[in-house]
Amino acid sequence: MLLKRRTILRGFGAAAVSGVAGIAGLGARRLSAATAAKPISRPIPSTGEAVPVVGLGSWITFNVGNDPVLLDASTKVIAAFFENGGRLIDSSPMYGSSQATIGHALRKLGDPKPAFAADKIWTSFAAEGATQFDATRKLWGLDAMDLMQVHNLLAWEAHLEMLTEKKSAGEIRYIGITTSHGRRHRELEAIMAGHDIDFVQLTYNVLDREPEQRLLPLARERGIAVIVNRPYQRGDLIRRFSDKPLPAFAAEIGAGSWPQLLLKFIVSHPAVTCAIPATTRVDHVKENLASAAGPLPDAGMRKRIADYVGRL
Amino acid sequence: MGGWSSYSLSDFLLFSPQVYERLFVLHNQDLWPVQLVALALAAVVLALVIRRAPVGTRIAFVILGAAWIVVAAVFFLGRYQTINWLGANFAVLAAIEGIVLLMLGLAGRTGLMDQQGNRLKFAPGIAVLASGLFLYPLLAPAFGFTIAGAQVFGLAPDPTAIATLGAVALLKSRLRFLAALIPAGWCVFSALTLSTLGRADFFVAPGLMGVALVVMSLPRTTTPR
Repeated sequence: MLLKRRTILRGFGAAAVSGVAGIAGLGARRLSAATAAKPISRPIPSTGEAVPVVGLGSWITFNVGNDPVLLDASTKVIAAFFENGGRLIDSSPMYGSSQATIGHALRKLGDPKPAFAADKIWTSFAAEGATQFDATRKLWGLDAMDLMQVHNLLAWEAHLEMLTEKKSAGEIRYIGITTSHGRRHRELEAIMAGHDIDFVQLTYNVLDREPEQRLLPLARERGIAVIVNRPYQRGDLIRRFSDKPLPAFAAEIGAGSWPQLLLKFIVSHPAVTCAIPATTRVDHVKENLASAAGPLPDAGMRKRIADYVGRL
Repeated sequence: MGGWSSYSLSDFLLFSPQVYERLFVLHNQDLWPVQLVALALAAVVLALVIRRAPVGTRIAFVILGAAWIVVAAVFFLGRYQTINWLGANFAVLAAIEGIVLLMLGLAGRTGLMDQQGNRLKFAPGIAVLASGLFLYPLLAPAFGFTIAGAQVFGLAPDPTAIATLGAVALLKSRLRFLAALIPAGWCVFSALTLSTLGRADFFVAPGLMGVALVVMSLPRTTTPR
């Protein structure tokens, strides 16, 4: 994601070639206007609480150890995330020092009110789950977490039981379960169908569309919020398409770059509650949130995007 | 999607190239001027191994063992653990390597192969040892990284592992194979890490390790006295 993802307006300009001269400038204005607007929100089905459809992941990007320079840089990213209407930040004990980095930023920013703290239990040992939850709260500097998920289905039965108890005790507001890279979808489906969870987290993007078959419809049916990880396949999608022209129809939904088009595709799925791209850059976090501020593609446009990408 | 085939090396990488590079910059900043002491000890190790005197080689292996224990405590636990939860496990392995080398030194199991009949083995072994001790700090600027992030013997694992492999490759005792296990394992892990980070210097450690392993595996020729 660090590499020239926003060569953007080149693509936007290409989109405009069929239209009016000087459209690149119009694209810039559109992007700027979208940046200023707040992102669209979706309700969490179990409570109706609204969360912006673009959140912030922390895999790799916030694992900066105790490097003061990079801790400050991460704080700026998180500050920009909140300033531009973001809420949900997701992390895991698996992500090195990411939890501590987020906690550092929240302290520096004076514990911003909109923060929606999402984290995970990541251990194969049932007995370690509660201890890890306490460590996570401490690292974030919070008494209660908004969302705790069982990471990659590890010891999920025991951890879900523990998290349910914590939820009843008011230490967690929502519970969920996660997977990524399309792994263990059958098992995930069974958990979604048979257990009382608020959230499910999975990988979904314009190329990884298997969840559309069963998981996303099931989430709607069961009233489960969906967090989408790896929206850009860790930047691979952006690198893959960065030298390809942005389709002309991208302008119709205010997508001025490939990242915006790819993100709009994801969050326009009606079952998706929030996508969580990770980044180390303030301009990228602003652009990601701007993706959710303008119009989203309808079913017809989604098909056009998928078809276009499929041909590349 | 799904299954083990869906994993790639990058899925196991927890940090970015920038974070890894700055890890060594911060390490050096916090430790300065200990690097000068480490380089002085490196010179002592090289001189003692080249001279091959029994007491000298014992001292050289004690220094190598101490270097691993410093790497375990100061680098793996104090630094690497902050970006990789495997840091504590690596610290244990590094400490074990340190103890093995200390025991070799203290027990006097540090006799080197005869130089006379093994010149073609002795020279590459010394070259690998010298590379770990003195070439490694120069790799950072050679590959476009700041000298402030140079990796120094006794403070960073790669040069310590390479120097150790060079030294143990010269041993007569079959215990050399035992003493090479952990440094060789680290060289492989480090190469995979650097390769996944997209760094051009990823081949250096496994390349030098390969030379050391060849030297180590060749039969020792005993010169009649």
